[in-house]
Amino acid sequence: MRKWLLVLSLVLAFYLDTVFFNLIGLYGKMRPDVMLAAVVSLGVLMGPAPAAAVGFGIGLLADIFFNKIVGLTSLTYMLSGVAGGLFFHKFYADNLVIPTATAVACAFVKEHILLFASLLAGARPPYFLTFATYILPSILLTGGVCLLIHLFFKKNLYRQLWRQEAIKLE
Amino acid sequence: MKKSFSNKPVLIMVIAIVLLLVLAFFSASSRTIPWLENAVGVVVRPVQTFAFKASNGIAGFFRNLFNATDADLENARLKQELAQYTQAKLDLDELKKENERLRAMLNYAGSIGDYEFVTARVIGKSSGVWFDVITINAGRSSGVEVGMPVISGDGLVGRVTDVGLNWCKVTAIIDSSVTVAVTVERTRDNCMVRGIFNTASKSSELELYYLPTDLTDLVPGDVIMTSGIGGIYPKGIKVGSVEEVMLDTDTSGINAIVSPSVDFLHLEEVMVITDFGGAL
Repeated sequence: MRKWLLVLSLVLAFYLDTVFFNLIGLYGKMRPDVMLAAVVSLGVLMGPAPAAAVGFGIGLLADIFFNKIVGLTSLTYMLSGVAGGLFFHKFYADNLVIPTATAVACAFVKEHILLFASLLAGARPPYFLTFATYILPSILLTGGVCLLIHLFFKKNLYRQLWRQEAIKLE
Repeated sequence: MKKSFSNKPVLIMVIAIVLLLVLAFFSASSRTIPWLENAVGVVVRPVQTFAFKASNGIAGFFRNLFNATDADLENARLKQELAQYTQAKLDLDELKKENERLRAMLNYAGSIGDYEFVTARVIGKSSGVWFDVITINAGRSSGVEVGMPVISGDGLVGRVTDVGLNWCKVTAIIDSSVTVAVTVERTRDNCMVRGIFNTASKSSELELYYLPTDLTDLVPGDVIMTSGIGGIYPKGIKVGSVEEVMLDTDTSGINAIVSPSVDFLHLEEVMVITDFGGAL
């Protein structure tokens, strides 16, 4: 795998999530979770262990620097990597439905974990309104972004990864 | 069971999950993991400062793209024409604007009392809608401590909740878990405001509550200031203005929607009040 390209992609994902989308502000407050999408795609292409490690690292960085509760984002990203990794070598890498659906499911779980945390912190968000105006659009956007990221990773990273695997097997 | 623990990746995963849950527990309650946050924060902060500053230009472009009304397009065209004059003129304008913002902030600071301040730049915000936390580039090395109030030229921003060596996190007053003791400037009634969880629009709102039930003359436009009660925030800092007054059917009291005076979406510079004689 072209490591530098992978690192660059993750840095870009980090930047988009923590700075760019905050400044842009899409309609309402909906936003894709680019880091989660990248971690899920990596899981499908690289397997659960490396994707979980990447999810752990990038999530912890975001937590420490920006988020109120340290560990929650990291936990959800790590588990997203594992979820993506469940499909490693089980489907063709061309299959775009698997990573997209996994990213949507993981984003759904992540938002509900954070919703629960905000409830514990004292917030009382109206669930159905929040679901309709933020959670649903955001997880669909995350799925869409995952599809694009997966296409990019598959084209630029997967071939080299496959070669490394082949060398290992020899 | 034995087989699971002999599986190294699963074991590492379980340990990581336990560690993260412990971190989440401690960070949600007492924030007692500064060593970890410091180490990472010191390294990442300069990069993040650069990234945030560079993003404003790009963000402006996209903002115009999404808000393509006639006025926005006209504004964009005029801005483009202006940009063609010279790059030096633009730089000068930018510096002038920054100077004006800082001057306004200092004037505002001077008007609310004889306090000591540390100025800082916003370098990031929490992702998602669940919490409203802002990261700024001033920390322990500048004398910032947990609990210190943060203001901008427009009014109250929030309170420092986490401090690193050269950065800190500020929980904004629009966070739905935050409450602030306030006074209605015109009527001098003491009440509270808290953040409203709002995902339907970009703008943030506050809810004014604990108003005396016999209070009937609260009207839209009334200015809300901090009351100083509790010693967390200094007295007399502008919080916002009343947008809508309504009857709370549950308590038969009066509630109001308050529009914060600070534009949290475009917040760039802030001041941390390091000493106001309150109970920090």
